[in-house]
Amino acid sequence: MKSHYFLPHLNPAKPGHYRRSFLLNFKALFTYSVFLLTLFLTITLTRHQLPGVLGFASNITFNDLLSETNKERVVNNLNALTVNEKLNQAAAAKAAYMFKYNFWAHVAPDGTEPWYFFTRAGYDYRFAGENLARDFGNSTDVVQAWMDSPSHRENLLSPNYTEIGFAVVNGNLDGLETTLVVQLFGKPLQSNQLAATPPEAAKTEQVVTENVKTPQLSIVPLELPSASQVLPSGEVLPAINVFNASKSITLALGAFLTLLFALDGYLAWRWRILRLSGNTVAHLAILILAVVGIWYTNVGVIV
Amino acid sequence: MRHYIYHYLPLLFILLIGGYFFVHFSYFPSYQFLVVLGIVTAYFIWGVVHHAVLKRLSIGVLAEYLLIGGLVVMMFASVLNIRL
Repeated sequence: MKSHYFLPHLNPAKPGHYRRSFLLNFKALFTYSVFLLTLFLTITLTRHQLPGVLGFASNITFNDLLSETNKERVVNNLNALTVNEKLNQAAAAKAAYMFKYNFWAHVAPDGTEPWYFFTRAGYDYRFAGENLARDFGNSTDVVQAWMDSPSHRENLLSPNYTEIGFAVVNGNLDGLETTLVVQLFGKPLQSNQLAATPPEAAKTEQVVTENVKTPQLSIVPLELPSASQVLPSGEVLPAINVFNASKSITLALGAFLTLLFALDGYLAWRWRILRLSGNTVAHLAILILAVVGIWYTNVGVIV
Repeated sequence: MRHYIYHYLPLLFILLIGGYFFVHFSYFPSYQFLVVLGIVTAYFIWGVVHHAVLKRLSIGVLAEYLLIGGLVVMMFASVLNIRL
């Protein structure tokens, strides 16, 4: 009977005992898992075999990033930051370096630190900091994510900085077409400070640094990205927005199973069904948590 | 259900704590995935203990918890922005 697909029903093998609907039995649950595993493997393999097909569509702009950042600073009674072209160049170089060497971190696998890009762009700094983001859909979400993270927020709202630079760069990272956002903060070293500074090593932290001397760095040469790589408009249009597609499919499946278990639990309670099975309330609880969690999931990542 | 309502308190605690850490690690999907693994493991253990106490533990019941837990893990693996 068709209703057996959706409703609990008597088990012909055990007279008087009920069993779950066909769409909730072991075979069905196993099939859903295999389907999701196939989806996951397809995405992973497509990413590596056909780079550029999958990705994250975004509409991040330089101006929006700047205005959102300064808005947060002004709200917190701090000075608005002014754009420094050298910091823009340094940010673009950092983004290009991450794409070129396929990594996503403040410190590169070869040990290159963020401060290298400041000095390479000719920016002598007293204070410097770096925030990174990738895979976000718009500028507001990027800045909000940084504000939600204590260490990034500390950078964004630091009174030490007076200048800022951004890069919004499109490229392929790990086979996925994506947008990297590099936000660099700085306070320039005055010329008289530069002359009077004793020759000490630079004091660096992961995200924020205070520089007392331009560090001597030996590093592999890096070409600055071409203008076509840097997208002031931030427009990235991959063939398939992998995140939205996966999220829609998974949410639909999660909601469907939640409804089936809710119906199963309700009917089991109304009909006073006797059966040996897992706890429907527990299954329902974890499925509801999963659906809410997936709904809440962000595609954007920050470091 | 009323007779063992106190069984649900640990489950509620597991889900609330798990939910808190999932939100706490927003924008850090690798950590979020670890939180999901932790929640599913705790949920499975809860199921085993719950059914063992009620003396209704069977291979079928274990398999059901494993399948639901595996399904939840696969759901999050499909959407979390984790790069292998």
